[in-house]
Amino acid sequence: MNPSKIAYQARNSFLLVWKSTPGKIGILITATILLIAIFAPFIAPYPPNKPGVGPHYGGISSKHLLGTDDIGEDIFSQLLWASRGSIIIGFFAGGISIVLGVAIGLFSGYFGGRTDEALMRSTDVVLVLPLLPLLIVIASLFPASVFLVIAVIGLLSWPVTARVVRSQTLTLKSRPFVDALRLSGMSDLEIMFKVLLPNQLSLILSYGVFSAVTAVVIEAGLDFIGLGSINNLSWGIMLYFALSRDALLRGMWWWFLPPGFMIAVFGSGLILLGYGAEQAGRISK
Amino acid sequence: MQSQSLTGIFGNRLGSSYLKKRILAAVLVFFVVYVINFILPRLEPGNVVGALASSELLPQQRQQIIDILGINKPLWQQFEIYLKQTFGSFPPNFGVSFSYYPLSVWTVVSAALPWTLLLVGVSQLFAWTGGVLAGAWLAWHRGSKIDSFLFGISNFMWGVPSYWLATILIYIFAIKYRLFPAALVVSGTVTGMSQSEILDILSHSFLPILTLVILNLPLYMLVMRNSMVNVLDEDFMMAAEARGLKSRTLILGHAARNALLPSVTNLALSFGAILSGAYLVEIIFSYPGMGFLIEQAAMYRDYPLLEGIFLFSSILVILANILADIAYVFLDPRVEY
Repeated sequence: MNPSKIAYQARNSFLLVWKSTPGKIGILITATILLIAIFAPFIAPYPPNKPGVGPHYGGISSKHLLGTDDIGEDIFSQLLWASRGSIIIGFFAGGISIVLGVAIGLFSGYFGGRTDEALMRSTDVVLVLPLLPLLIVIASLFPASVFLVIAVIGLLSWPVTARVVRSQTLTLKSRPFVDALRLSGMSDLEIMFKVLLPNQLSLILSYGVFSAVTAVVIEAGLDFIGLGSINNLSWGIMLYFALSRDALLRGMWWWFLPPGFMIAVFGSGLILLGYGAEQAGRISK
Repeated sequence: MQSQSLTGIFGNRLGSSYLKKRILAAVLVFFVVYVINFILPRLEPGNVVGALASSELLPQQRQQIIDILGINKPLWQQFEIYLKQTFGSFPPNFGVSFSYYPLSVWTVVSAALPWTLLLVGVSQLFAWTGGVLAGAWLAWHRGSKIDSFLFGISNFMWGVPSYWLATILIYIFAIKYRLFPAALVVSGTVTGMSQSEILDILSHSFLPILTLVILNLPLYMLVMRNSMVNVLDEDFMMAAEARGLKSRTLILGHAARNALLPSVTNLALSFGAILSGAYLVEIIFSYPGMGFLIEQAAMYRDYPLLEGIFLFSSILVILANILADIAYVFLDPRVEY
C-alpha cells in the first residue's frame, strides 16, 4: 500500500469513529490527555519535582491550583507531568498485549487443528493467572523498573484479544474470497496479515484498549503497595505518595482525588474510543 | 422432558466429558502456577538469601544458608525436593513464612483466607445480583437518558483504582461524618462469636464491601445490558411478544435466562481482577485478609508467603471458573457434555 492510500484510509476510519457519540467523546478525552502529556513542560506552572515552590501541605490557591505537598512541590504540575508515565505504561503494555493477542489469535484461527489446540490451551492458562499477585511476586524479587512492569503486563494480558481474533478469523476464513486468494497464489502469512488482519482492526482496537486500561490500573496498584518505580512519575505514584504522606488524614482531597480521577478519565476515554471503533466497524461492513 | 431426581441430573451432567475437560485444564493451570513459583525465586537466588540475612554475613555463613535452602543443587534435583516438600504431607507444605516465622505459609494464608472470602463473597453477591437486575432493566429501557448516563458511569468505573475509591469513601464516611470505622475488622480482638462481635465485624466490613459493590456492580450491569439487548433483538423474543406474553414474563422467563450466560462467563473471567481489586481495598482498610498479607510480605520480602498468596489466589480463580462452568451447564442446555 502506498502512503497516500494509508492516509486516506486512516482519515476515513477516523471520520467513521467520530460519527458515533461514544467515539467522539473518546477521541476528545484521549486527544486532550495526549496533548497534556506532550506539552506538559510548557503548560505546567512549576517543575514537578522541585521542593519549596510553595508552602508545605499547602491548600488550593490561585498560585497552586491543587495545593502543594509535604515538601512544597506543586501538585497540579505533578498531575500534568504524571500523564506521561501513565500513558507510556498503557501504550506499551497495551501494545505488546495487542500484538501478541493478534498473532496468537490469527495463527490459532487460521491454521486450526493442533496449532489451535496448543495455542488455545495456553490461552486458557494465562487467562486465569491473577495478574496483580504475580506481578507483586516478580516486583519484589527483581528491582522495580517500568520496563519490567510493562513487559509482565503486556506478556500476560493478551488472552482476551487472542480469543476474539481467533473467532473472528474463523468466520472470515470460511468466506469464499479467502479460498480465491489462496488459489491465486497468496501465501498463508500474506492472507493472515494483509487480508484477515485489516478486516478486523476495529474489533481488535475495541478489545485492545482494555489491555491498556488494565495496565494503567494494575501499575497504579503496584505503586500503591510500594513496589512501583519511583523514577517513573505516574498517576499511580502520585496516589502512592499522597496516601503515604497523610493526605487522607489531613483531609487534603485536592491531593489524593485528582490522580485517581485522571486514571479513570483516561481509561473511560480509551474504552469509549474502542466502542466508537466497534460501531464504525459495524457500519463499514 | 421426563422428571428426573436432582442427583440424577447432577450426576449425569457433572460426569460429562465437557466438565472433565475443564477440570483437566484447571489441573494444568495449577501445575503452571506451581512451576512459576519454583522458577521465579531461582532466577535471582541472591535476593532470597539477602532477604534472609544481612550483607554483613561472613562468606561461609552465606554458603551455609545456600546449602540449607538447597539452591546450589542442579535444577531438576531441586524440583524433586520441592515436589516432595509440598505434597509429602497433609496439609501440603508451601514452606515457612519469613516474616511470621515459625508459622508455615499454609497456616498464615488459611487464617487470612476466610476474611477475603467473606469480603469478596458478600460484595460480589450484591454487585452481581444488582448488576444483572439493573442491566436487564436498562436493556428494556435502552436508548433512554438514564441508559446513556449509566453507560458512561460504567465505562468510568473500568479505570477506577479500587483503593482510590476506598480512600474517597473513608474520607466521606469515616473522617468527615464518622459513621463507620475506617480500618480493621474488629474493635478489639476476636474472642468468640457473640452478637455484639458480629455487629462489630459487620460495621467494620461495611465500607470495604461497599467499595467493591460500587466498583463492580456497574461492570456487571454493562455486560448484562449488552447481552440482554442482543437477546431482545432475536426472533424468538418477537415471537413471544406476538403470543401476547406479559412483559414481566417476557423479561424474566425468556430473555433473562438466555442473557445470563455472558454475565456468568464475565464473573469467572474477571475474577482475578476482582480479587486484585479486593486485595488493594483490604490493604487500605487494614482488613486482615490476603491483601493485607501481601503488603506485609512485600514489605519484608517474604518470598515464600508472596508465592503462597499467588498460588492460593490462582486456586480461587480456578475454582471460580469451574463453578462458572458448572453453572453454564445448568443454564444452557445447548452446552455439549
